[in-house]
Amino acid sequence: MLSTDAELVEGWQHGDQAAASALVHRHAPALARYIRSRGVASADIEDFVQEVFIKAFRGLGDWRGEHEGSMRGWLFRIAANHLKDAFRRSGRVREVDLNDDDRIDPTDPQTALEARETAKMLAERLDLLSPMQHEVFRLRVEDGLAYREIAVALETTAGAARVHYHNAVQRLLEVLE
Amino acid sequence: MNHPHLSDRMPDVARGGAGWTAAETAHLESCPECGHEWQLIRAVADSGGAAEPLDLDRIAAGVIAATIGPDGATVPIPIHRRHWLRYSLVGLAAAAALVVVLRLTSEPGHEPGSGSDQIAIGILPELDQLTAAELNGVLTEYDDASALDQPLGEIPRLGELTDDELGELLSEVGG
Repeated sequence: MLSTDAELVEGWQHGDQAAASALVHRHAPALARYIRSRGVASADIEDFVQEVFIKAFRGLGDWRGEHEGSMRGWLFRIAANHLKDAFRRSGRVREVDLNDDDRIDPTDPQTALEARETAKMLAERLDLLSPMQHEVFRLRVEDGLAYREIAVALETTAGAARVHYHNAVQRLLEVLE
Repeated sequence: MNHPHLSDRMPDVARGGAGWTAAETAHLESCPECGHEWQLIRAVADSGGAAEPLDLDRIAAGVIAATIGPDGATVPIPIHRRHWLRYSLVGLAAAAALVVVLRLTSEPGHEPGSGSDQIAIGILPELDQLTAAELNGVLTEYDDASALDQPLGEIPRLGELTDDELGELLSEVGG
């Protein structure tokens, strides 16, 4: 049976490096997808993920592990703050990877073009949402976070996250009609 | 949104973490509103692109190296966390000092204001949610020490309590 996040954290706090590694293996892929989708260049993803985990591990005293799912939400919160700091230091509102093509199959240009157009259209529609709706929607759909994890990431409640999500869906459906 | 349960599950199904039942599939094909929503969610989920290849062992090794102390122990709690703990203890001590559960005497002929008088303190706000300044304000309202069996004495500003003073306050409250 897999250990829970709380058990792994406790193990790491008692010096179990395998527990620390397990936490990284468990949550790093989701963090990487999130960071990538928020505009960090592919070449910087691994370092960025590592910095988020270092911050998290140094602040484990602040993690309230009373329920599962909160570790991922907490990591996403740290990542979001780290993103803001990084973009602020770089003087950019959002760091855009000009080489977005590495995400699309170069052997099928037609599909690549359609995919790029769809992504562009979706990005424009998402910009019509309120900041909270935007973030909740993307965390739910793109990053696969559960409402309770979104609640921890955005320092709100699971119920509020659910409301924001459904409001976002309704808004998007309205503008797409 | 007519089917919130279906709507809630769409992101998980779109990402491949769950599947539709036959009834749900049939509904999505027959309900225009749900069908459009499913198309939207699927499009957004698909637009994320392939997962980033990561060297997870390298990341983990770097994290462990950065957060392990010279003696092999994990890095201790940061300073700002210790200050938070101190204020929490101060708040709890103030709460303990204030929440003096008394009972009204029901003896016949009891004279209000007598030495044995006891006052039922009503429901107090959740003190642990108050800031140090707010707690201090609450404390200054209880300036009639004669109403209590044991006067609390001068109440210091909570934010100025040192660890030693806090210990004294806790001892005093403990009786």
